[in-house]
Amino acid sequence: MIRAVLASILLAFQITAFAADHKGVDWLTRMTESFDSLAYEGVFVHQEAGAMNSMRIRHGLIGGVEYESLEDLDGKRVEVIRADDSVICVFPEKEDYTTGFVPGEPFKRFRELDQGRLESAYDIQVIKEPQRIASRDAVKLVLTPKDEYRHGHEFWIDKSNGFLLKHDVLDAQFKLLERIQFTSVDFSPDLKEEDFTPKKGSYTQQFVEMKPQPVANDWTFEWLPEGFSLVWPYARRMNEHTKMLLLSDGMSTISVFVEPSDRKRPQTLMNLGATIAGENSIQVGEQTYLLTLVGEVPAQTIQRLMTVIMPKPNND
Amino acid sequence: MSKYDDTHNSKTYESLSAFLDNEASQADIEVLLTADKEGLANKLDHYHQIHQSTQLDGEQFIFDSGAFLSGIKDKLKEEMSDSNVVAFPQKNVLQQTNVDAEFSELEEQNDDPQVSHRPMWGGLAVAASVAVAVVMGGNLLLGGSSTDVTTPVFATNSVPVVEQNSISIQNIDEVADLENNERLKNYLRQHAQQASMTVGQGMIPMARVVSYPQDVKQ
Repeated sequence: MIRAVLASILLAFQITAFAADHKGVDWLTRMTESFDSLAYEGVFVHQEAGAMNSMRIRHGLIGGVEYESLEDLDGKRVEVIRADDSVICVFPEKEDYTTGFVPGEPFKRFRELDQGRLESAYDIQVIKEPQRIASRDAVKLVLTPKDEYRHGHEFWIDKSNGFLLKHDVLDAQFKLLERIQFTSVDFSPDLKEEDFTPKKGSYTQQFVEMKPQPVANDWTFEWLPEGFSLVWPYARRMNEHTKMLLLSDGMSTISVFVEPSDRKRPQTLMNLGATIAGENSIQVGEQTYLLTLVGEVPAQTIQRLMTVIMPKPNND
Repeated sequence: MSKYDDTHNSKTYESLSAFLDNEASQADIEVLLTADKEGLANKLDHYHQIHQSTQLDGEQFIFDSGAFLSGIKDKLKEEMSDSNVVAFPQKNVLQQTNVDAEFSELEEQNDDPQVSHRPMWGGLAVAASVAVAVVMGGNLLLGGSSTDVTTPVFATNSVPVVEQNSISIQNIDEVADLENNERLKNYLRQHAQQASMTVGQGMIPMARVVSYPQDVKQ
């Protein structure tokens, strides 16, 4: 009994000490670690561009196997299940199978948060006022971008274990672009293998590890927003002609797709909440290329990046 | 307030006044482009109040953006010319770097001072962020309603766009051909997948995928 009381006091002290002493980036590091280290089962709401979806997420270690699943509770109830490096996508009916929904490769685990890069791009502030989300005490972080090339973020992080409870993406006028908010979450879930087994009669597609095809990156950017850099030193081959590059500042991600094209397209921007997609044609010698950029950044970032991508010099 | 702030604010105010009088020099343009956004917005508001208090009944404030656009054009030309020299192989031509063409189009639209600039400038809000930075200030002075005006964004390095379609991803089925449509959807999903591996939030970024159109079947 005494030991339990002492343990509780120690835990409370540790929580208080962490909350008082740590900077915003420490909380963000703790948040990213919690997705791997904790067992959890929760329901969250995803709100974007006026649409709202409720989703269930589960994560746990069962018999030495790491399981994770994300289930759409609305609409067609599509579910993605990961068991270590295998991914299964589950659809209620075969007709609901959507080729593009499933991941091309299993989810790799996020390894490390680049604190220096984040701090170069955002002012990170820990809000002192107590917060409460999904019946849990939370710490609120505000990430204010230092330039106009990225969105602002607000995180509500579980005070006791660092789990992400709520995340808002805001534009420069503080307009809400996207929100993830847990309505309930259990950190002692009684998860079993059956919870990660597709229901009988459902249609499943299983995917095994497919190593990405690295190819030479023959494109470069004359300019990048502060803190952004290529995630891979190479390009990835998407198909016979298309190459993909990935940019990130540690918080936002921009995908760049480049492919030869036989016709020019006007510059087009498409938006869905925080996500902006832009496409444009560029001419290199006799060859026209189609650029497609997708990212959770302001439209002007996509616009400007489309004007500064260029082929690397031949001797590079 | 420090002496530096006083001097700095005074210079910004002078540059703003010069701009509003169509007498802005390149130096004024640069001061405005680097000015504190909030401070500049306050000055615009202050200027607006002064203008309203001294305005005669029925008098229209006509704002000619030509001089300012011209200054911005020069500034952009200078920046882009520098960057092109450094980075572009001679043989490569990017389609959207013709600043002259872009601004001549804007200037042509501004030729008639009787034309109300408000709707046109509102439409440029996404396309020409640099121009918008000050154009929107001009709109504030025109006394437009808040619904007509986008909050000023004082970008310093953006590039204007001549031809641009802005649509919602949810509506891409209506505007894109089938081949392009499927290509875009595939890219959106690839992006969501990669984001889930990059930003350290577990599977949560995959939640975006369900918001995307899902009608591509085998």
